[in-house]
Amino acid sequence: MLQYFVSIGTLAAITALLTLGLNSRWGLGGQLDLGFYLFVALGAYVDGVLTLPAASTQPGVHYILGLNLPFVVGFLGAGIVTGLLSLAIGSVALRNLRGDYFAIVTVATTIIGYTVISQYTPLFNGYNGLYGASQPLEGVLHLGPQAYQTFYFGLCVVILAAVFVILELIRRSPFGRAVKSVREDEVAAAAFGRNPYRLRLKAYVLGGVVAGLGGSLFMHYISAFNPASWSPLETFLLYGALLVGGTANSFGAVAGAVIVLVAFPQLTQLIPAFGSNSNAGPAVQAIAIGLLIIVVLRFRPAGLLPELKTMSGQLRTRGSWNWRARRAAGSGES
Amino acid sequence: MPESPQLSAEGIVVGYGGAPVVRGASLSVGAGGLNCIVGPNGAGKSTALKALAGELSLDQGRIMFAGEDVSRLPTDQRVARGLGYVPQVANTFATLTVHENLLVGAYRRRSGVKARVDMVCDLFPDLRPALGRPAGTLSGGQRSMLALSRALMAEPALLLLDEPTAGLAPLVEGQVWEHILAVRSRGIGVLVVEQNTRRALGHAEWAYVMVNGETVAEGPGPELLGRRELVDMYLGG
Amino acid sequence: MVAKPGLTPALDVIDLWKSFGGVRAVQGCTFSVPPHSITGLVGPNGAGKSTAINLISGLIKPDKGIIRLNGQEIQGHSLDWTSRQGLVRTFQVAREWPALTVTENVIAAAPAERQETIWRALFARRALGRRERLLEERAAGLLERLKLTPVAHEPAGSLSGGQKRLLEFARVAMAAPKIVLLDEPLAGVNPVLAEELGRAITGLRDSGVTVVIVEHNLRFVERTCDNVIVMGAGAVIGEGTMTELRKNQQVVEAYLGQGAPHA
Repeated sequence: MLQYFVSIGTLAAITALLTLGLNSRWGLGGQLDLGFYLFVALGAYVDGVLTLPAASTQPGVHYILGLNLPFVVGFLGAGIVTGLLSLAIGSVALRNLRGDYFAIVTVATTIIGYTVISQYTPLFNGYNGLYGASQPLEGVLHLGPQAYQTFYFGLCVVILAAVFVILELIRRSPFGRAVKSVREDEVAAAAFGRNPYRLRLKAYVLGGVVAGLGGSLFMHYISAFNPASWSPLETFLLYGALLVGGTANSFGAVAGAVIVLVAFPQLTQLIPAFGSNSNAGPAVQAIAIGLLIIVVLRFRPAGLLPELKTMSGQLRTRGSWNWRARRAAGSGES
Repeated sequence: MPESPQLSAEGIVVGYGGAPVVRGASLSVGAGGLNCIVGPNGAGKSTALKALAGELSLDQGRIMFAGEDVSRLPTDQRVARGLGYVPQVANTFATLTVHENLLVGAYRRRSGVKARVDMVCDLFPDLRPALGRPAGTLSGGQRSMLALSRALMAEPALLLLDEPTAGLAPLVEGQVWEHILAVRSRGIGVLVVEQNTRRALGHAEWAYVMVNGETVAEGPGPELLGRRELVDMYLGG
Repeated sequence: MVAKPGLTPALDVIDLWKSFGGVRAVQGCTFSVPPHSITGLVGPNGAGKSTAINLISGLIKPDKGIIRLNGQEIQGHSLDWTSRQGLVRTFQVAREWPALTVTENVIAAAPAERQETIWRALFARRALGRRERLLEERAAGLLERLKLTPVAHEPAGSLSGGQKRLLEFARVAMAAPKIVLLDEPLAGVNPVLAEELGRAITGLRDSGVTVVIVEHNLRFVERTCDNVIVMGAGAVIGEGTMTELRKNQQVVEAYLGQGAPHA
């Protein structure tokens, strides 16, 4: 029984980490990034090809590298690679694209990435993906399987806590405030000397690094990763977590992740399966999550733990400042 | 002062939620005359016209049209009663043809639409060859003419025009005034808010000068033009 | 008003040109703004005042022309670069950052001075903390002067229109500019607030900032400005005091328009 909670807990910690990464782009940066999960997947793949032995040791399996390096290298390497890729993609996508147009480009990028990874087998073994990932620090600790799972759970929680603290420090810093000012009104931010492009790019890269780290932890949690483990639509579930938990708020991100992506699916599994349709279970889960999001947005539009409250305790959403209309109105009248 | 005012505003106060822009303006327009509202920027001319048209609601005062209190009526109901309105922006549908634009103007009418189109084309002969063209391909002056014609399709007794020459070259300005005079010659009353004061007062049978949200002077256009204080109303002092 | 000999004008605009798709919005616009003054930039609708401000502040790039800030050429650069050189501008519509508090709005307008990086956020926390406290004090002082202290911790988006305009002045003062361009600061403002804004503007000038105001309210311009520049049809058509300008035929014609051409 305990193992069940340890397993769920590990999943919760990793998912919370991913949600924090998305929060850096959406909550802090105000960028509607619909392709976030590509970076998560790449984190998992990069970690895999760094920590797995060379592909030639297994017949019929193809992937690049295969350097058999320890977990720490895989973990950090995943973050570095996804960070660099975020820099490359972001420097182009964030230059001139805003709002919906930027979102479309991120979707396109992710679909391209997904297709290339699935079809170009020499890269990450195509549809079969990578498997057999090592258990971090196993050689040092020599724990039994159940004890190891608990250790890994602890490891993920520690990493989550560290990332949480770092992101919160960043969010509350002058840098974080500058990024928020760009999010709220980039022309006004520029009018007061801030470079909107640079600040947006930094928030984007930050999110990418966290995504990569999360992907790496995912890889060693499941010990395998292939196109069936992810789809471009996974990003929307993370958004569900942010919307429910409260955007821009790190506590909200974690709470949202736990509720929407872990607790809720687990609870819906308790609903007795009906009919003979084996797909009913996941379908009910999806419906339930959708309904939860709708209910929360109806009664608590800013999420359960929003960024700001007025002194009168009124919760406000970004929509109510009419910021979108103001952006559309542009600047430099008559 | 017109004897039997067709349209009148009595002490109207209009704002956009903050401080009122029109702070107690009164004016009246007789049937069939050419009337103008002029004044410096920010005086509230366009705001007053929008209130007359029904685009904005009144904080105070009332608006009478043909003996009826129309203060609470929305624009389309005022149009139905014969009060036409040509706004300054977005007054033609660029992707529809000239003919389709005219048909939209006659939306409320059940019959006689074709006759109406003919009447408008007689008034503005340049429209006929352009009937099949998208309105977006017309020049500025032609589009102004189309906006005017579209409003005429509803057979108004009085037409409200919001800065019809705004953004047009001086030569085209002259053409627009010719159109306005042509409309006037058909017995349709006109109330024009204009930026080019001298030109407007030159044509106006009766004019109002608005400064800071109030009507500070009125009279026949040419007479106002001759008043020495006119410059002071615009440049302070 | 020609700048006193030996005193570099705070702002020099020389032969500025800008067209939008064939329409000449600004053509051969030339004027100088003396330092530590309040200069009004007036003219009828369509004269090109806002376009001139947009060109000077870097929001749009000129087709031709030179713009000098205290002798240094600044034309062709971006809005944020120009702001960092000490030229700050406001907009006709209040552009506060709605989800940040009023105090955060003011602090976020202070010059960044290379402190706003991720590295410093993680590794220079003590130094940043000291700087934050200084900024908070300055901000509190500015808000106090503008009577915004009661709403210091409210989200800026919940302020009334008038309060947002006052907040804009706090932000401008916080940015410690050399010169500030105010784009119609009194648009839609009631007389009482106009008085307060007038005091804030003179306060800016007294603290050493050169002020340029684009305004339609000529009574206010006359009361507040040291000299006035009139634009018409994209160029400067007059300069001086309001009394002088009222006698300037070109200026009168620009405001009252041209009558119908004589047959």
